[in-house]
Amino acid sequence: MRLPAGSTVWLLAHDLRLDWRRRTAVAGARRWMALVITLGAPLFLAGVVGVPLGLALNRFGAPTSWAASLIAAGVLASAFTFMLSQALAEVVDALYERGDLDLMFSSPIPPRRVITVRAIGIAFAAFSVFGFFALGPLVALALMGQPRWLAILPVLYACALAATGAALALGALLIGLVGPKRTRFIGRALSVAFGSAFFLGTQVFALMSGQISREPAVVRLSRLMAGWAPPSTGIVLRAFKGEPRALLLLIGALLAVFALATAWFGPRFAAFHAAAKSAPAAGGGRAARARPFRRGLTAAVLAKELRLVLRDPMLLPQVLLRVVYLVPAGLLAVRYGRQMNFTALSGAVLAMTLMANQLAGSLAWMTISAEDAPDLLASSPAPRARLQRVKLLAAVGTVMAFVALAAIPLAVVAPYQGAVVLAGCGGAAVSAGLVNLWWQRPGKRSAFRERAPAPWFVTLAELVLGLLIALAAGLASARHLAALAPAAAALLVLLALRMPARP
Amino acid sequence: MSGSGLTTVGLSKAFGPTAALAELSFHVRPGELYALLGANGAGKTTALRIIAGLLAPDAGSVEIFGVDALAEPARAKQLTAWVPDEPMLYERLTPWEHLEFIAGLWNLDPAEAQPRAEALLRRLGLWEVRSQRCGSFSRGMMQKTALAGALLHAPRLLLLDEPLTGLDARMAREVKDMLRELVAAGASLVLTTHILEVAERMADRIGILHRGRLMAEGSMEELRRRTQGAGTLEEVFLELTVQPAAAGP
Repeated sequence: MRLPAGSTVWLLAHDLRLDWRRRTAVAGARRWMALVITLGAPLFLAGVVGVPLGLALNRFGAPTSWAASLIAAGVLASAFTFMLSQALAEVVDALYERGDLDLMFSSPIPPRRVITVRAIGIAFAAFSVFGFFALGPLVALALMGQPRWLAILPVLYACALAATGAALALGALLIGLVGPKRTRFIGRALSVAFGSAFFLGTQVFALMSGQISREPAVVRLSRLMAGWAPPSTGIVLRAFKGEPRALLLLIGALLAVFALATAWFGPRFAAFHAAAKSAPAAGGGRAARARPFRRGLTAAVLAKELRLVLRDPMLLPQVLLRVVYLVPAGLLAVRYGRQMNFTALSGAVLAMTLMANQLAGSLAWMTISAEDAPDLLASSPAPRARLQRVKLLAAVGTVMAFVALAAIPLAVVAPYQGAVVLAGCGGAAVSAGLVNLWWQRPGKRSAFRERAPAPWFVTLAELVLGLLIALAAGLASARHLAALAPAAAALLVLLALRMPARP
Repeated sequence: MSGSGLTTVGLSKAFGPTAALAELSFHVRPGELYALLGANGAGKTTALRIIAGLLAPDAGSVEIFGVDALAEPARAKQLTAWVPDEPMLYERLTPWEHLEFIAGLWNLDPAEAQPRAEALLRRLGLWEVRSQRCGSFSRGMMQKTALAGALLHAPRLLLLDEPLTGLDARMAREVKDMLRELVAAGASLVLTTHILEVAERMADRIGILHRGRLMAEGSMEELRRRTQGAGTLEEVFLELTVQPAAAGP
C-alpha cells in the first residue's frame, strides 16, 4: 500500500525508516538481527523480569495509600523531567544539526506538519526507554489479572508528547531570549539540568538533612513531600489504575500541551531553524586578541584538546552531566569524612571512582578517537605515540581537575581517604583512557551520542574494570585489606585488554 | 635522478583487487611546479597520500630532498606540507589557534612561528577574522586557513590537492602568486587540479595519470608534440586518457 505523498503518515514512515537505518548502522548489526533484538528484548524482559516483579507487586493489590499516590505522581514527574531532558536535546539538535529539515522546509509540505511529525518521533524516542522497561512488568501484571496497569503506557507516551511540546516551547523561548548563538549551549545545559534534576534533588536533600540515616534520601524525601502532595496526584493515581475518566482527563491535558506547542511553534520553526543555522560563530568579537603561541607539542595538543571540549555545545553538557553526578558524591565524601563515618564514606568513594571512570571514558573517546583532522596529525612529524599520550593526559587531567575539587577538601579532614580517592579516581580514569586508546572507535565528535560501540567483550570488560577499581577504592577507603582482591583483578582485566600498539 | 626535490620510484598501491597506482615514477626538481592530472579515480590523491606519509605503498620508494620518506618518515614530514582537497581544520579553533597547533606539531620556535603566522594570515586576508572559529568560514576561507597552516613551517616540498577550490578570483590569483614565490625560492611543488587551464599556465611540467599509470609527462610543449596537433592541455589530456580506456578490455 502506497501512502499519500506528503501526508503526516508518509512523513512518519520516512522518519521511521531513517531512524531505523541510523540505529542499525550505528549498531553495526544486520537488520534482521536488530529487528529480532528490538522485538525480542521487551518480551525477554517481560518473561525474566516482568513475571517475578509482577508477582511481587501483585501481592500489594490496588495501590490506594498516600505512598502509592505519591510514588505514582513522583514516577510521572521524574519520568517527565527525563523526557523533557531528552526532548530538549533533540529539539536543539533539530534546530542546529538536522540537515534534512532544510529539504523539508523548502518543499510545499506545511512546516507545522513537518514539525508535528518530527516531534512525534522525538516523543517516541523519549518514551521508548521508559516503555521498554515498563512493558515487561506491566504485561506481567495484566496477565495476572490487573490489565488496568497497562494504562500507564498511554499515559507515559502522552507524557512524552507533552515533554516534547514543552521542549519546543522552551527552544523557542530561548531563541527569543538569548538568541540563536547561545541557545545551543544553554538548551543543552538545561537538558542536562532536567536530566539530573531528580538525582540532584535527592542528593541536595541528603546533604542538607543534618543526620546520617540508614534510609535512602529518596525515601526520606518522599516522606517529607507526602505532607504537601498536590491534589492532581489523585488524578494521576486514578489514571494509573485505569479509571477511564481520569485517564482521558490526564491524557487529554498532556496532548493539549503537545497540540498547542506544535500549533504555535510549527509554523515558526522554519524561521528559528534558519536563524540558528546562520547564527554567527563564537569568538567574533575578539578580533584584536592574538594570544602568544605556546611552546612545544605537549602544550599545543593539550590546549587544542581542552579548547575543543570546552567549545563544543554538544559535548560540554554531556561532560557536565557526568560532573553533576560526581560533585554531590564528592561533597558527601567530605561530609562523611569529617564525621569519621568510614562505612558511608566508602560508598561515596565508590560512586566517585565510578563517575571518574565514566567521565574519563567519554573524554578519552573525544580526545583519542574523535580526532577531526587525523590526516593533519598523520602528515606531521610528531610521533604518533607521543600524540596519543598527550591526548590521554588531556582526558585524564580534566577528570582529575574535577576530582581534586572534592579530594582536596577530603584530604584536609581525612588525609588517607583523600589519597585513596585521588589514587582510585586516577586509576579509574587512566584505565578508561587506556581502553579507549587500545580499542579506538574512530568517529566524528558530533556523533558522540551515536558513537560506534567497541566489541561487546571490550564494553563488558570496561564496565567490569570500572566496577573493580571503584570497589577497590571503596574498600581501601574503609581500610579493608580485601581491597587488594578487586585491585588485582582490575589489573588482570586491564592487562588482558592491552593491545599491541599500531605502527 | 637527483638527491634533492621529490623522487618516487615504482610506487604501487592496490586496494583489494583494484590497482590504485601502478609503478609510478616521477621526479620534481627544487624550484619546480609539477601538475599531476588525471580523471577521478586515476590515483592522484593516493599518490599524494603516499608521498605525505599517510599511506604505505605496496612497492616503491619516495625520497624527499635526500630523505628516504619510508625509512625516516618524521624527517621527511618535517620538510613536507600537504593540503588535501578537504581542508584539515578544527571547526572550533580559530585560524590563530590552528596555526599555534600546527607550530606545536612541527615543533617550531614560537618566536619564529608567530610573526610568520601573522604574515601569512595578513597575506591571505584572514588577519581580521583570526579570532573567529573556522566552522563559520566559507569553503574558500577554510582553504586559505589550511594553506596558511601548510606554509607555516616553510616546507621544501608542498603537496596541494585542488588548492584553488572555493577561492574567489582575486584570492585565487593571490594564492597562485604565493605558490610561484615559493617555487622561485626553491621549493618543489606538486599540485593536482581539475582546472586544466591552471595547470597549463602554472606548471613547469605536467604528469598525466590514468588508472594508476603515468601515461605522459613533460612540459606543455613536450606533451603537445607527443599528441601531434593537440592545441590545449584539455585536448592533450583527453587524447592521452581516452584512447587507452577505449583500447582497454
